[in-house]
Amino acid sequence: MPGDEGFYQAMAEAILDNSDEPMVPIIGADAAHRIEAHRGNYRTSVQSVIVSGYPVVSRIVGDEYMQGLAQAFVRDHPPSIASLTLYGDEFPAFLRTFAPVQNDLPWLSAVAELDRAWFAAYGAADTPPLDAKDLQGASHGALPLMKPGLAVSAQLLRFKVPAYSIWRTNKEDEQVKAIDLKKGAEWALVWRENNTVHHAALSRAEYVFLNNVEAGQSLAQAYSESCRFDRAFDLQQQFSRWLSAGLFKGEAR
Amino acid sequence: MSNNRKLPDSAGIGLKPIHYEDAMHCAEPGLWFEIHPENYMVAGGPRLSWLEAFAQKFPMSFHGVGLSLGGPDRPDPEHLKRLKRLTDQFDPVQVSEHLAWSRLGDTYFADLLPPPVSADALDRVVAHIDETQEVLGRTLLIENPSLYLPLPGIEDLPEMYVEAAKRTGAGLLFDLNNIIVCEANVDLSAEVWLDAVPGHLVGEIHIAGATPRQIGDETILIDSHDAPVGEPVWEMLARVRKLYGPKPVLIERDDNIPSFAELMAERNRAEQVLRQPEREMLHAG
Repeated sequence: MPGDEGFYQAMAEAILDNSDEPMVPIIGADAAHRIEAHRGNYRTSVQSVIVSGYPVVSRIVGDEYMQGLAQAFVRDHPPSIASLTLYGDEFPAFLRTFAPVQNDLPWLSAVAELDRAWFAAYGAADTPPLDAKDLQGASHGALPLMKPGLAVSAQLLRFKVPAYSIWRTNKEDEQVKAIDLKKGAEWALVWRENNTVHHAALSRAEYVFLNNVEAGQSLAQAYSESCRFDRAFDLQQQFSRWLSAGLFKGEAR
Repeated sequence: MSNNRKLPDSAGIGLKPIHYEDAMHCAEPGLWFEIHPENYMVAGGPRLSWLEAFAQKFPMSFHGVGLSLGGPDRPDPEHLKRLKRLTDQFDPVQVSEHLAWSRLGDTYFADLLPPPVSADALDRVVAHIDETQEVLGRTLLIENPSLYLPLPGIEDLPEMYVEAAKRTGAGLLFDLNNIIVCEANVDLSAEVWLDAVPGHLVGEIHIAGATPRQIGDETILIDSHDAPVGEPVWEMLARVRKLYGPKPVLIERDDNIPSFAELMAERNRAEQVLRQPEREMLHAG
């Protein structure tokens, strides 16, 4: 590709370059400003993926600020794959390091994690969950030894701030509720059942239980650690609740 | 390698998630849909369920934007694998891509950038189309690009476009908005395109809206797909209908999406152009 290498390089550099007077050797100085047409296409399409991929963050900060955040993110993390549905995973981490957000809205990155978890659950593989029918004939004593694991769509999250409450009211309520930031830590679960994405607040004990089940522990093992955080933790009740919610992996026995 | 199936010679529209419900229940004869496979490269969930339902009911076209066929590097094997997974699973009637590039090294430019016009560039694009067709096990349609930059050798681009199809057995997806955009922005008239493009290679036609944008002291017409199809594009459609006969025509709309009914009104206008009797066409102008 001896003759064309410079062509591609020049155009790529001019698109990623943010200066007002781009150099585009292949088209000459009098038309160099036109590269803005391609720069505009690039920025608009990539930024819009971030804006639409983080709808609750967008609602909280407003359109203009969100465009600014997306622009700063895209500059630091240009996409490397053509399927933009897979782009933008690093946005929550970016928000954690982006000084203006850290100063004013230190909990925003946690809210972004929930937006990401929602889309991860939405696009997760279709795998049939464990069904009550699958358990017919199992002896009562076998249940605690089961290691069902969690459905691939399940996303467990924990926060030092009430991020789930903030995310939830901004996602669901027309009139956003006030959330007391002093409320402290929260735990949450996002998962998909058939084609519907669900989310729920968890207690710390529930989080520990599901986290251990996801890690491959038996229900009895997962239960015993949960009891350290909640002496009244009821294994049977928890198992039934999550079984009917389609949260356990199919063919678990 | 060839495709036994082809899209109907009727008008279709680009399928958008906000229109899934309306589109699924639309019984307009000859209606077909096109999607960007990149938007369906997920492991599972509602997106793919909808696609499955549409593929069972309507002729579907998969119109890729990310293979970078006109680029310096081979198509990204991971991207090609994801595309193959979709085409194998949903078996669309037609798969198309662009004579354009969007990837250099590790960066994806999310745009359809014009390729250089050279013998080497033609060889590369031919190799990239060959490889894609080999992997997918089907022929592609290749779309002509929109141009904003006065690139060297641009006048030979239409010839390179047709040559790439002839050497690979691919067909052409002739985008009429893009030729209007080229005519507005660079020294490349619609006539040159029409002279170069033989009707028998054209497997699909795109029509769309463009938006003028002030850049420096100039107004550049951008292939934005965010507005209704422009009148010059409708005139061009009537012209190519006369030249080529009826072909599958797609209303492309990717931004500022209107209601499904509004899109269908445009689609039905295209359908009228296609259904105009031959005799009337011959007498009209």
